[in-house]
Amino acid sequence: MGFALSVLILVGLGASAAAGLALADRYFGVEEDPRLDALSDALPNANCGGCGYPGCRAYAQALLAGEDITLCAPGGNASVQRIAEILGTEAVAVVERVAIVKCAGTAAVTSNRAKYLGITDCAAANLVAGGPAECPDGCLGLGSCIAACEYDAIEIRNGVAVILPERCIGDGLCVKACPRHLIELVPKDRKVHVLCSNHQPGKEVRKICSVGCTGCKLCTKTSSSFTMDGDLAILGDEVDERAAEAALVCPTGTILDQNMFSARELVFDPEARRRLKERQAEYKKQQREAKKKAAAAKKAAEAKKAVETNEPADDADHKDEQKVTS
Amino acid sequence: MRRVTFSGGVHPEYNKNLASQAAITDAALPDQVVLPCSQHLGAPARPVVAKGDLVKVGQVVAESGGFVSVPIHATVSGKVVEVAGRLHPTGVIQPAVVIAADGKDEWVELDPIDQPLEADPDVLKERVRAAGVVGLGGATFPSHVKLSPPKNKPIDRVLLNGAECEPYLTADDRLMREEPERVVKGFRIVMRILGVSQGRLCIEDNKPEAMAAMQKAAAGIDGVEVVALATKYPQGGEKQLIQAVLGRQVPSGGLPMDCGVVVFNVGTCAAIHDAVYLGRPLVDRVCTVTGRAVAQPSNMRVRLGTPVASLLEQAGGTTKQAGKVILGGPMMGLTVPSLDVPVIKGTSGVLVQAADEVVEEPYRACIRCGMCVRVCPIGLTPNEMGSRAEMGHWEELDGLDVMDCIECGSCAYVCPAYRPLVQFFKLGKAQVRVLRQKRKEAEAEVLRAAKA
Repeated sequence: MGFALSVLILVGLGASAAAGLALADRYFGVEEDPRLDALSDALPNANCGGCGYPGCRAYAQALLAGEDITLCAPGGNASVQRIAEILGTEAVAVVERVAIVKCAGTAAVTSNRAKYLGITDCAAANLVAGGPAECPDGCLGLGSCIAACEYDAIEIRNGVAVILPERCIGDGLCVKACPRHLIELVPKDRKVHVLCSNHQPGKEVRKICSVGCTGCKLCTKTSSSFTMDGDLAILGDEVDERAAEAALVCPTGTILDQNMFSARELVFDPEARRRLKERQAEYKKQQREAKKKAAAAKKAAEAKKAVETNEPADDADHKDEQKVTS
Repeated sequence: MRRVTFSGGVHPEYNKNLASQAAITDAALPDQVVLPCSQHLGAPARPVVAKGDLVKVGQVVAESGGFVSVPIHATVSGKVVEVAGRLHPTGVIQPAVVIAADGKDEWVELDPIDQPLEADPDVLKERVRAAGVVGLGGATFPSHVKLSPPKNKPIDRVLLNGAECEPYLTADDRLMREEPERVVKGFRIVMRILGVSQGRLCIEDNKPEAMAAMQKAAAGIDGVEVVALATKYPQGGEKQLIQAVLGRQVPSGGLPMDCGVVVFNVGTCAAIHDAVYLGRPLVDRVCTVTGRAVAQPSNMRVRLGTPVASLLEQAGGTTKQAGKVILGGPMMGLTVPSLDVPVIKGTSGVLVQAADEVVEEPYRACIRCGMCVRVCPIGLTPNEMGSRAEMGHWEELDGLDVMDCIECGSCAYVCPAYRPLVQFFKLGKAQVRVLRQKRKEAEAEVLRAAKA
């Protein structure tokens, strides 16, 4: 009897709880957009925060409210495609980006004006007399960007940070962490970069750093992709095919061509700098020879032209004569 | 005499005897001066001269850039060489007017005010502003702003800040000993402008000669009394001074005028005297050049814009291997990265520490001894704040009232783990400011959305 009663009580409890849940679901249930889960799945779920939202699900929610679909850098094109499918909008091709530190000022090429003993944090160091580095726009090398990076994609040696493009996912967290705004997100397939951020006049830059941009404008003469911001060369997202050549004419070796060296090699390895100098000398020689050849060809052409023009000149004379005679 | 003081604080080695017996001398006229447009708190001044202009001493070279701002005057006669970016004592490059001196030291015509103690307060106030007077104790807050309290904040007391609690510095001490009349007259102008009948001349008791001189100068003036302060750092902080002398507390985030008080420094009062009685703008200041690595520690009257290197030269150069050059005192002064920086309105001293005085110990984790809590003159918890700042927990740091920190450095001074607490708080304040701005914007956004 006792046994049957307890079974009955339990069954009864279960049934009433089920009824309660069913009612709650019926009357208090919150409608969730079925696309939300799908959108969440389409994102990488790394929760990096690079899009500006606290996590991937928050961005998914914002997407439903009409947020820009290209904000997820780690997801890249694949994510955008799937998001567009789910939302039924048109997919936009996103440019995959990686970060680059626009400074190459290692201890070998520039110096510190003071000894810094404070907190190991770039923003804190920047507050003390404008930072210990001689260059007001140089990398402080204290690693605030490393602390921000979740993918171990930054290396610091000799006081300069370099980003490893093969590891960088382009979430831009280091860009926000750098108090000197030295880090920029650039298209992954752009191989040419200006590794300097100092806007000061060239003569000031020359005093403090041997690889800083002095504003000589040789790069702008080589390729129209370069523009000048004061005494600093700037590159846009799109570059023409001659931009890589600028790396061969830059007298300070400020311009990096990743087809030749990686950023890591050029910044950390003095051997790479030496090789760059060799390549530049070779290029100069080639240019000179090409110029000589061109000059010779021009001369030849002129000579030929002179011969040719002489003959038609005769003709013309004849024509004139003919005119006169007629 | 009864001595008053505040709670908390430290007793660092004062080392005032290095320079306290050296009478004020006039420093040599510099060959070239660099006058940064930002020598005061508030909007930077706007240059009104161009390269090649001839200027006389006292001529305005930069107009004030707003209400909380003051004009800047030429401090030598000569030719403007350049209006360009130059290294500022804060270590960054800022716009400045550079003047090459012609050595003639020609002044503009000065226009003193007759019978200033009967003059219209507004006229006096405008004169103080036009003379470019700012707080010369180091904070460089424009004086005319302090002299213009809003109507709902009545002022009933004016304090003269003669504490000079920073170790090593003796500029105010010497000024009170040698020219007490000037200081007291300037102080009376302040009382006149504010319409206050009660003034207190507050001097730390380690300056007995200054106290005697000031007592003599203030004798027979109604409502003006000398108050002796116990020697303790940071006795010269406005909030600490008010607490010690009047027992009032400046509210969190407020100014002394919020509790009916205005505080003026000794040097500022002397500058106000010059502006009113002589019609002379602020072109020089008394500056202590001192430290164990200086050959002849001295007090000099220096034209603003003189390079620090030239001052050190005139003080006999440095004896030992100099370790660190600090503008101001050792507790709150700024270490400078170069000797090319100019003396500006807020430069109360140049301190050169010997290399063996500079602590190069790396900082360690907090050991929770609580010494910093005991010495904090504001009553904050620097240990807790330090660890929040170290971890980047800015929101919590804001909750611990980091914005009330006066950056006096007492906590860092006593910390046995050598923690750079003040640097943590400076960083924290900058981050909290960003945070608050963001929060404000977000709130405005919500309000806008609610309205729509």
